[in-house]
Amino acid sequence: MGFAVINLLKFLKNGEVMRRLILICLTVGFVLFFPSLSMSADRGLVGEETCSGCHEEVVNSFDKSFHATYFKKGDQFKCEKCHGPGSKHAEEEDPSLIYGPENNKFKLEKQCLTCHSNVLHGLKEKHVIEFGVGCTDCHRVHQSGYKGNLKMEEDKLCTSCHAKERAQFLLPSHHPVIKEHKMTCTDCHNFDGTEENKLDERVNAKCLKCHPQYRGPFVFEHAPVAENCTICHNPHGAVANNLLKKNEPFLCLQCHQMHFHATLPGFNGVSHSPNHPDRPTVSDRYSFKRAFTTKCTQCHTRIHGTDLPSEGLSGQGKALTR
Amino acid sequence: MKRLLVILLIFTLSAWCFAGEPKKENANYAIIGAHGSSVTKDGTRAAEYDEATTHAEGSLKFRWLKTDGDVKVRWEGEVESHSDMRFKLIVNKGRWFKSTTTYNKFLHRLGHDRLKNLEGRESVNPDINKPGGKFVTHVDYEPDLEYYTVYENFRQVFDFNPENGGVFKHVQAGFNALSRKGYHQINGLSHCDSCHIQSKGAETDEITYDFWVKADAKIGNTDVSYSATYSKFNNQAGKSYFYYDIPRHPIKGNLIEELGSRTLFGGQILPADYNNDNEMFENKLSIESVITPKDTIYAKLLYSTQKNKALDLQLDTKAGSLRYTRKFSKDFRFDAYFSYYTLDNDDYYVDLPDWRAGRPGGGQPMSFLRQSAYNRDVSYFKLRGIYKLDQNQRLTFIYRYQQIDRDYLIVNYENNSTETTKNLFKIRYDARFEGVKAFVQASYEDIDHPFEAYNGIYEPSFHNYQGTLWYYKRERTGEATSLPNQDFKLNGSFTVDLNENSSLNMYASYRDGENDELNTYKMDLKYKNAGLDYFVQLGETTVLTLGYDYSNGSQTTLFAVPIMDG
Repeated sequence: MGFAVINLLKFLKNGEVMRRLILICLTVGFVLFFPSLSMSADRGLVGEETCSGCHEEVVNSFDKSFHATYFKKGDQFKCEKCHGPGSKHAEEEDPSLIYGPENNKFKLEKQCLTCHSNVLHGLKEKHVIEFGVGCTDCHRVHQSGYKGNLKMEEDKLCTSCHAKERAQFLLPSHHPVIKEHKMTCTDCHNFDGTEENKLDERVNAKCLKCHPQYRGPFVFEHAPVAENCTICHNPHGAVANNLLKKNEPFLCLQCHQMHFHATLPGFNGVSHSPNHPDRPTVSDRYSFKRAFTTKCTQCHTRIHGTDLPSEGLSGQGKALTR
Repeated sequence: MKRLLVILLIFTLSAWCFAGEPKKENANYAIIGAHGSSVTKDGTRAAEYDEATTHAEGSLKFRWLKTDGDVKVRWEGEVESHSDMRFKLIVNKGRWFKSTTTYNKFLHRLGHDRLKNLEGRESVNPDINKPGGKFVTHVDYEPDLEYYTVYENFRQVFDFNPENGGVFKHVQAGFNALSRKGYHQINGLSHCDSCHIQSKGAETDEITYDFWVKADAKIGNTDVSYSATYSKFNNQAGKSYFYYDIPRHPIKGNLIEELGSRTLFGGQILPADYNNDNEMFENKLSIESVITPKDTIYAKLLYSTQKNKALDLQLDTKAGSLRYTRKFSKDFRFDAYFSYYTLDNDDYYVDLPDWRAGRPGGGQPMSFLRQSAYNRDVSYFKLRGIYKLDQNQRLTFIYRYQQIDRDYLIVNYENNSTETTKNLFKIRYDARFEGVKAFVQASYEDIDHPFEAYNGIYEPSFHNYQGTLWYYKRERTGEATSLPNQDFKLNGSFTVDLNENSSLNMYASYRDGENDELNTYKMDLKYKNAGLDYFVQLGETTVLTLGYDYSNGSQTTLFAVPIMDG
């Protein structure tokens, strides 16, 4: 292997060989690049002025778009860089003879990839590669109105396909996305390929970005918090308060038994505890049922974990009440 | 009214200033207005993110774009009220520099629980209405206080895209500050004397700072990306305190020593419901290498530490993943993906007094070493094949195997196993024609022992037990969970573009899951969703959506109630 390399170097050092090589390169270069000197004529390009004749508003709006910064000032062939040669289209005024989002969108999207080739390896992995979503399904480059050249506001765009999530965002308890516009879908869903190549596989990592008060780590834990936030919460929306999948106590009863005081029959009447005569108690037959089968977190307030022990020694301070 | 007029005047002047900008581009605008609401009932839950009070306020919305050579400036904002506003400023200098500044503020109303259900006295003989000794009482010290959180988020990101053809393609530096201010309800629970729940408002004053740098480089056919993030959570609010009752007999007032030996505190003013400061440091490295035009390898590494600063408790995460992608042909693509992460949370020794220390029959040690439920090793293996039937249609097949091996958290009562394994099979069809999009997806997942409360329900009877019985000994033996061990999902969607500005979407999904591994009951769940939506884009900023969504979910679970025998 080393011998072959040494021989090749010796061969190239020969002056005659080098001269020939340079000549060949120049010839090949001329043959390859000559057509580009007269490309507008040969490739059926017509230039921006012709496009403006019919699409003045579109051409003007493009100048305000982010993509316009990628062209040199005065570039006449901006339109045809993406939409393809326009001479036939201009001549016959036939929309099918140009690459547009309504016609020939697959050809138009291939033009996108001449600059955005990285889309094919990594970015937007799930949507583009797996689901086959096309560039023009989400983007329209002539408008400058929406982030990332989206066709419409991000939440509306995403939920135009993710309709189930849109419906959930309209439930009584929800993250403020669709109705209030305080958040966007991409605040949680990284649309950069990490959905697929993700390392932060624990959903919790996403939630804790905005809810860091629950990061802990705490001394006294609640096991499902360590496991996955979505065991109890539906992040898009829920009928129950606090995005809970079910109302209390039914949510808690999926894993726990009812509090043992819940079965006690209640005294029917008003009484005062001798230790606390200032605390009158109005009671009826179902008082204990009401008290202990309504909302577990009235007492177990620190359901996400705490560093402070609870009162009962029998529970080793783990009851998450403080 | 005066306030409204002043606000309107200020906004009118602001709008006039914006309107005075040269209108080179018609995308600049300023809209002023006013909005008000009249609230006659408690609107807390109906208006979770609005101020549900009778009020009137001005509002402003604007956008200002300016291009000067290769410098582009975009400034936009929206002000709805003093607690609801957002601004964004983007400055681009050619392709190489971008600065993005955002500020977002909004209010989240929290509910106020009146605790009125927490009142009662036990009857030891309901037939003759004989009162007993157990009481439940509550007191709300601040019944009229409204609870809310105001979120404020300031974010500054600088992006640099060097154009000199060097190794670094993109460098980013960012800062994010998220603050949460307001008041929230805290409760304190005392028992023994009586079950006494106290409630009051506590100040919320928390701020989280995030700093990060990220660099993307290209070396030959390999893209390398590294990011480091430091995040710090500070709780700036003062601690709130409750007086916890003296443990004693609720009627006789005696047995203070006996009940005191069964509780950790009593007769003291102690802090309650407080989040300690924490911090997180994360390092991420990702590598993507195109080996041949058909073969690509991706690798990622992550190391993060999360620390409770008050107690020096630390949770470490180490993760790595490797993915290989091969395009066998123009129409067939295949991925193999492996990922592994491990969580390691410090043990913590919880020093407690003995059970009924110094009392007859007492003295059992209660101190313990807290071993975290976080601690686990998770590995994940996935195969994916994507086959293009033609330019418009594709089929995707996925198989995924996941294993969760927890260090301490038991998920199987029978053999005290801490392991969950999952096998997922998924098939999906996607179609995209001119004006029509559709997909259908079916998946089945078989899970061996999903997360559960392995001793969540069922206490054994101790009627024949001769020794000293106390609550700690009455361990439960029944498994309970909300998660299925067999999970079937089917969903699909069909969208047709009626014209350039309108589309019609139909979707449906169905889920059927069950768990027959529990030693108590068979858990069963079913979810059905369907909907029909019509979208029409009326203008550049107006989209009208008309839709009907149907959702139905049911789950069978066990309502387990132990009988109180003491």
